[in-house]
Amino acid sequence: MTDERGKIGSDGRHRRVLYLAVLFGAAIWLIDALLDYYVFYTGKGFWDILLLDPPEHEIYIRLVIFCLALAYGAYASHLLRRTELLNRSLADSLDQRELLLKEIHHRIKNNLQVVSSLISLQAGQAVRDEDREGLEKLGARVDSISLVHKHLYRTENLSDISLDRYLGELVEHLRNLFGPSRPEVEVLFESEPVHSDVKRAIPCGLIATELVQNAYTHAFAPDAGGRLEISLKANKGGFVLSVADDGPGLDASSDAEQGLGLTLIESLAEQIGADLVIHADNGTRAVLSVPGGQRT
Amino acid sequence: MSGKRIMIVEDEAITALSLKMRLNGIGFDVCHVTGRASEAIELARADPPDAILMDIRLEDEMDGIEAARIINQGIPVIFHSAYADEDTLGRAQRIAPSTFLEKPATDAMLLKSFEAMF
Repeated sequence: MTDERGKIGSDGRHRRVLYLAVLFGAAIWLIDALLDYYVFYTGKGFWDILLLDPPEHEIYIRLVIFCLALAYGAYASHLLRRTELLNRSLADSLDQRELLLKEIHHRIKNNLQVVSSLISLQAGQAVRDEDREGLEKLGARVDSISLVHKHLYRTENLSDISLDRYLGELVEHLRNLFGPSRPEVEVLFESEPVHSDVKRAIPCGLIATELVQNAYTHAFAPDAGGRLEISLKANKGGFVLSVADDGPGLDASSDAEQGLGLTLIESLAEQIGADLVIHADNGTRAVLSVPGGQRT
Repeated sequence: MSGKRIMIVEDEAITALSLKMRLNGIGFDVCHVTGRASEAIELARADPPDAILMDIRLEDEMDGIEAARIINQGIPVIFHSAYADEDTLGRAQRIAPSTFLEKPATDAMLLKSFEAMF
């Protein structure tokens, strides 16, 4: 945030003000001497009037003006110096705050990874397939939040993230997680540059995770191929996230886990004031229109 | 690929345990697990593994990259870390043979990285 060159450049301003004041006093001295030479003391030499033998009252007038200019310059320089020191102190505090925030986001991410590892360990111990799958889904939800913090500590302002990059990485992560058991499912991600604050990014990541998980788990018949498309587009005052598959379609009553996924999606959409529409025709297309966010 | 002996260097015990279980699950034999760089060097010298999965930031006087540089027996190293800044990547790239895998890595990513190393 702070520019080292900018700091050094502004540090010299109080000195420059002082030099300008001296220059101003000297200029007044010179102008007065020129006026005297051409108007009031036409018989005397210029150097005598300027420095060597000026009239006493002229010395007095010029010295008073010079001293006033110097005093004003010194005062202005002092104020500038104080401002510069204050700015530097604020810039240092800002740097420290940024470092601290980055460290906090990094630790949150690491802690979430430990949670994810614990879930992964528990999943490895699960005897029943549905228990293991449930824990894997839980791990993916935690990973989606962890990824937001990873993107946050790499941004400049530590409050907004590039949603398109985040979702791209999240989709890749989910593909690595669920893809090996469904290699026949093709996953496509397309996006436009969109920035989002954390308040929207985390719910959007969780919603995307639920929709992609649901599609992998429920949209396609076992061992059948399919196509899963995730897209992020900017629109006026917000953005639109859509997840579409060409499978037979969702059946919300098919099992409890899928029901939980849809409940989570609807609750999170409501939390961020988003409009969620699910079309179930020739596959399933979930369209989430989110207000806010900013196109880059 | 199956049966290749892997040493895990990871100072977060739960993450190390999870990695061990996942590597075992995809067919590797985890021969050593340690969270200390100095111990990793001793273990690699006493009983060299086929590859090392190395965290970079460790609770030790040296980091994972320095430990890998000291081990330097041509053992493939997969640096597994959340720190992917240019400086860290540049230092890691000087260790050969090595590759970088950013945390969190899925089983598929781990397998792909090890396949590329062997």
